[in-house]
Amino acid sequence: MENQLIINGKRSDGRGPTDLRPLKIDVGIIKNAAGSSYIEHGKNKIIVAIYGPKDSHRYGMNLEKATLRCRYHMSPFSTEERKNPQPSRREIEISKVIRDALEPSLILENFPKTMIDIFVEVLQSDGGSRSASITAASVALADAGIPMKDLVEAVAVGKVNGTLVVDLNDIEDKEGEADMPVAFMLNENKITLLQMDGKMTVEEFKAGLMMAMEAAKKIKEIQKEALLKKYSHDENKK
Amino acid sequence: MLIAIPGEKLGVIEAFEPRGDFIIKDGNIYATKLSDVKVDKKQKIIEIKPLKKGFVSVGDIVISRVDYVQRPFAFVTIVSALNKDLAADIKGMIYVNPDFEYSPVVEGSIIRAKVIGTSAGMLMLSVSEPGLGVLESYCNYCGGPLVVRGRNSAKCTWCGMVLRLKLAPDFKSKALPHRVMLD
Repeated sequence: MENQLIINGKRSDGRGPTDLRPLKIDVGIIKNAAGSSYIEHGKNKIIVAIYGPKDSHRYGMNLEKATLRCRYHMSPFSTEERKNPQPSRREIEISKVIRDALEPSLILENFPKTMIDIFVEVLQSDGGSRSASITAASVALADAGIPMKDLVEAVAVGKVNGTLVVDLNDIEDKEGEADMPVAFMLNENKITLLQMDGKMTVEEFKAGLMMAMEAAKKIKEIQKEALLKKYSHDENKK
Repeated sequence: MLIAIPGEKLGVIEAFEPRGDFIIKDGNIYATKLSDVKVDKKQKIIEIKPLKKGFVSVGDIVISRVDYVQRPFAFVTIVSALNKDLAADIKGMIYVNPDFEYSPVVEGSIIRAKVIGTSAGMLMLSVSEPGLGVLESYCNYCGGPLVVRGRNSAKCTWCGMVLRLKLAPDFKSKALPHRVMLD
């Protein structure tokens, strides 16, 4: 029998269908990195560090622009059962997905023959860690001073008990009928990531996309606040 | 102070002249980095100054080591920029006029140069401005130490060879960055 995850319009954690989980972003937490951020999105706790642009190895060097590399890694203690620290198939896929979602927002042509490394370390995982990682990585890239066309914000929409919901938590992710992470560059009006797991009708897909866009606007405000908080504070100290 | 975040619209190109780090799209001016924005409504100028410099960019003064000279270029490795050692070496090159009798830099020189642009995937540097030039060098015939002989010429204390170089005003008198000393 299907698990009832929405009762009287409320989800398992008490949220409405369009509500986001609590979201907190801190900027510049790692001194040695060019840029860094820490995100708490629901129960997700993720650190992102940016290194570079630095001189590229001959392998993978691009003469026209910087090469972007991403390593998404889940700490062994991030899940309920110990996770093997070796990179899994899922981690390799998410690393690629994060890189592809962020690359359109960056002006990499300014740094030919160099590479930029994005390290994503998941300290505690809940549903939607790839979306949270993209949101945090975009903030960390801005903190690193990498020129960008726009910030990228990501959120998942899904279908749970026949209802479209935004920002799925772990149980909704696992037991829901569909899960669709989307990343946006809102100022550019572009989608940089769109994946879907499960089934939705075309109408549901369109409605889900609009819900995700509304949620992304809220996330963008939080990204802005986090960056302004750090840099206004730094400027006032001068 | 007004802080702009990447992708933030700052104005329209018809109304303002932008200066600093920005992109123009569809006639609008957008910030590309976290920037301090100053709007001069009288002069119609928007000055966009990045709050954090992430990399060597055009206009920066850098300390470099000359790897080799193959006219019309001298190939260098940038080891320090903005008084801060770089995490990794960045390659660059200096145009050496083939018609000139001498090259302003020689292999092994430590130079102070200005980044003037990018070309063929490399940073283009220049030592032509006052204050720029060779900070430390050795004789490229015998490897002996050099002493200043006159304006833009140095003499080897071992073999007596006179080299014509573009010397920085503080040739041999400045403490070089840690990275250079290690190499």
